[in-house]
Amino acid sequence: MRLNTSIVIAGVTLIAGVVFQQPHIWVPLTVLVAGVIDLFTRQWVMSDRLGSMTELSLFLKMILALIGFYAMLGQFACLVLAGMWIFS
Amino acid sequence: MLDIAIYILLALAIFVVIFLGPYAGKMQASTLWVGKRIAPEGMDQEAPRGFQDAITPKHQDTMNTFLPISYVLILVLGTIKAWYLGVLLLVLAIVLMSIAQRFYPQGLNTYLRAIIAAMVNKMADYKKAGDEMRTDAAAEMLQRLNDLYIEVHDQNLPVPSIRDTQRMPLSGKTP
Repeated sequence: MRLNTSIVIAGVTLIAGVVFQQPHIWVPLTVLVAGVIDLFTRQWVMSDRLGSMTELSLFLKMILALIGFYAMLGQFACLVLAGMWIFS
Repeated sequence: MLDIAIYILLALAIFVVIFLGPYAGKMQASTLWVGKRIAPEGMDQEAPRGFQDAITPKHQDTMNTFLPISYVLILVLGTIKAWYLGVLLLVLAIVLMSIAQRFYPQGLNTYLRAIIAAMVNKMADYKKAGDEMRTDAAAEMLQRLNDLYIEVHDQNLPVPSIRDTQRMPLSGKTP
C-alpha cells in the first residue's frame, strides 16, 4: 500500500504530540483520518465512474474531494503545529 | 451575539465557495461545451450558447444562484469586521477554490453523465405533468446527448475551459 505525504506527516506529528503530551492533537488526528480516506477513495473520485444514483455519486465525490483537500492543506498545518511545539 | 452570527455566516459562505465553486465551474464549462456541441451549425446568431440553457441541470442553476450570493456575503460581512478583511477573505476563498478544483473529477464524461441523468429526470417530470410538447423536446435533447456520449466517452476528454469553449463554433469538434 502506497502512503501519501499527508498520512506520513500527520502520523509523525500525532506520535510526537502524544509522546510529548502537546496540545491541539486533534489537528494531526483529523488530517490522518482525512489522508487515509483520501488514499482509498482518490482513484474513484478522479475517475469517470458514477453509480446508478448519479446525483448522489456526484455529491459523494464532492465530499470526498473536500476531504482530500483538507488532507492536503492539513499536512502544512501539521508542520506549522510541530514548529510551534518545538519553538514554544 | 451579532459578532458570532457574522462569523458563522462568513464561515458558511467561504465553505460554500470552496465546496460548490469547483464543481459549479466545471459543470458550467461542460454544459456550455455540450450545449454548443449538440447544437446544429449556423445557429450562432440566434443561440450563441447553443442548447446550454436547455440541458443545464436544476442543481446547477441553484449553485449559480448561491455562489454569487456567497461572494457578496464574504465581501460585505468581512468588510463589516475590518475594512481589509472582506477583500482578503474573498481572495483567500478564490485561491482555496482554485486549489480544491484539482481534487474534483477532471474528465468531461463525469459531467456529461450527470447532464444526461438530469435530462432523464426532467423528461420524466414533464411526462408526469402531461406536458407532451416539453416531453418531446426533452426526448430530442436526450437523444442528442446520448449520441454525443457514445461519440466522446472513449476519448477521455478533460473538462474544457470556459474561454476555449466560448470561442468554439456551434457543433465544433474541438473542446
